Amino acid sequence: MSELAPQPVAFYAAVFFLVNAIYISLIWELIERTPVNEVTPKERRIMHFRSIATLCVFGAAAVVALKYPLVGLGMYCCCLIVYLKPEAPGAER
Amino acid sequence: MRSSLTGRGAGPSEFGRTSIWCRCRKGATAVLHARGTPERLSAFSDAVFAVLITVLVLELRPPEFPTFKALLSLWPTWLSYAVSYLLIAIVWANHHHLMHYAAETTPRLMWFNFAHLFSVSLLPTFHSLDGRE
Repeated sequence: MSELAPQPVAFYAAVFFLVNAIYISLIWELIERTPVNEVTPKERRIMHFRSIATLCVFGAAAVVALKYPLVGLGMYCCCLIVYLKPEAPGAER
Repeated sequence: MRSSLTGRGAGPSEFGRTSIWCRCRKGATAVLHARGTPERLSAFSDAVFAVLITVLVLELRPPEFPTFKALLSLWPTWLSYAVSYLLIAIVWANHHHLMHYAAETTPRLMWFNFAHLFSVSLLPTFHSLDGRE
């Protein structure tokens, strides 16, 4: 029976971290240029908070996975759930 | 025939994008250069996402023996495939949503987009979670 290896899971979390970090720069590039009537300040705040919070969790998952690979994998799966809906969660349109 | 320019500036084109125009002496207006539209950037990104999500399946191998036990023993491979597939699907959906806000393709947007695609393209290489060769 094969098992999850700590280092591949940690490295995979690091790739997720990189993807999310560059996604944040895309958000800044596109959302900051958009007029306020298209993206409300609340929506901007939520999108920034979500991306930075998930970035932190991806970083933490990379560290945790070195000791507990299954927990690390669970952490970044939880982060993916908050991105299932692309729109800012909780922002009224 | 030589035509000289009498006016030059920027204004909205029929597609709502900014274009640079010039007015010739006879009153005709010619569009010299249209700013990049985000449609091509989106189309290129969609193509890259489609290739990446397809390439993931190449990592899957059938079990050594045709038994459920052998199939279940490969669970990290199946799990990493599912997580990677989900991640690429989510990244595509979020990218698609973000690109709705792009009015034009700026050099910064283009290079951030290429960097984003680069980071996503690493997923098929590193998605083996069981440490096998």
